[in-house]
Amino acid sequence: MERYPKGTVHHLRRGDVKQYKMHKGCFALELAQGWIPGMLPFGFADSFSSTLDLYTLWRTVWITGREMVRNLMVGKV
Amino acid sequence: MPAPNTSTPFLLHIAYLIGVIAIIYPAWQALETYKSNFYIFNPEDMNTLFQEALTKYPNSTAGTINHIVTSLRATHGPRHITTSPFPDEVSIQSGISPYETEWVFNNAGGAMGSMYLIHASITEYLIIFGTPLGTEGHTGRHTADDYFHILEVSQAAIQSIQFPKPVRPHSSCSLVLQTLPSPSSDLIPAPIYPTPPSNIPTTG
Repeated sequence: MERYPKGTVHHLRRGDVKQYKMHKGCFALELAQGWIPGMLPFGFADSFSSTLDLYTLWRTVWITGREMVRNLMVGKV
Repeated sequence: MPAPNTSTPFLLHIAYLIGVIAIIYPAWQALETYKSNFYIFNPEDMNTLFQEALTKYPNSTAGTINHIVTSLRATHGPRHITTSPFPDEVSIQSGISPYETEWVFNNAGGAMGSMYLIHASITEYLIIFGTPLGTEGHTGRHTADDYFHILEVSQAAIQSIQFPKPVRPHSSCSLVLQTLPSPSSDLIPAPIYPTPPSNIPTTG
């Protein structure tokens, strides 16, 4: 079992899979580096197969799209 | 008179396929080696800032987050970094972000939590993710490296090969086996020390 208390960083390498648990009150700063569009289907899939919360899906797509376009416009890929 | 054969020969299809792969594969390889040039963050600097924020605000997650986001905004500029979710002393003290519509629930891999986006582009993203209730799930198999900085409480993770350590010696299991009912009788418990059945003739 891997334990990551407050102040530590869990590096999940590209292609690795784990079961993870965030204990009560756990908050994290998550940095992802690689091909982000490839990760987006994972983030959206539950909206179609489980929650059917279309407003949340719309807000997520809007916020993510807005930032991606804002970055692309200043040359940040 | 038979119709003329206008379909492309099979071997030509294969040649096209090889041609397409010959173009796409090196292009993909080139992008793979070049992609880190697109990054504006690096894990070492992010960890330094993370540690600094925790030292400055050891008892306030909102304060820690505000320090990280305002520092990144000062370094990289407002075009790359969103506003701090806890922009003033009131929100830091209360822990309630005034930007309600910028926080969204995220359900993925069976886990659920609240998310606030700090940066998103084609090769990087930076978010705050968490929940007061706790959550559990599958990380997903991703095309990116992931650095999960624990701001508050803790996270645990396992790979599929990991088992819990035994809490008592294996020998204690035999006690359980000895008290199980015999399969030949539902009513009479099996003896702890088995005796041979009486209907088998014995000699001597």
